[in-house]
Amino acid sequence: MKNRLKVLRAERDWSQSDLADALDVSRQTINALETGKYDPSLPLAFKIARLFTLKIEDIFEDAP
Amino acid sequence: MKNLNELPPAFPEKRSEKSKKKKALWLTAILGYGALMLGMGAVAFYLGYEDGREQRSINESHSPYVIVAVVLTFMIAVFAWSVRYWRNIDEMAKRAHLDAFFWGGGMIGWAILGAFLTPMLIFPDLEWGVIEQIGGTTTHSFGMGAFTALTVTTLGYGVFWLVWWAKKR
Repeated sequence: MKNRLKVLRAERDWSQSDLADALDVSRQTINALETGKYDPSLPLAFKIARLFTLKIEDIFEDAP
Repeated sequence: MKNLNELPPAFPEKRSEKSKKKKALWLTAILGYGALMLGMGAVAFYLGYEDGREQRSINESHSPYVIVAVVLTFMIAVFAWSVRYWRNIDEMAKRAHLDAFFWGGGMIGWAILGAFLTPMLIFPDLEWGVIEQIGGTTTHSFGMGAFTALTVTTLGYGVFWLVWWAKKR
């Protein structure tokens, strides 16, 4: 699954650790999310969307 | 256009709090394990010394009861620590454990065990002298088998867990 996490984080000048703290996950999880190696659960996806005040589909794209 | 300056508050404070919690959790594990090993060493030394001094055989010794008590205490401590550990890790870390449990502990472990168990079940006259030699009685051989099963599944679990994390990095 593709996502815009890295871009959204960079726009806000946040580090991976900043984002990890805001979402209450580890930095490794943020890295895996950004590189598309891990797909978040629905609750985490909602949490991410709320943090960036965007819709889930504005952040994540269901790429084949 | 969204206001990009709307940062969620207090990132560094939250990080330091989380980091302290994480450190305390691992410090408890390391110190607890160290204390247990030292304690077990001291108790084993004392029991061995006493058994030797009194010239007691293993059947007369109190050592097996002490070992059982220590193992039970260790199990309770590990369980209590695991509850805290599980509550402190995030969803990806939990996913790693669940995948490792299914594929590493379950599938790989059982596949390896199957390679040994199947011949035992198919060939009724098969006797592996080594097992009986090490195990001694049927009870001890059974215990050894159960311990082997646990070791193999734990190894499968550990290897799969490590590979899982390496691939996500």
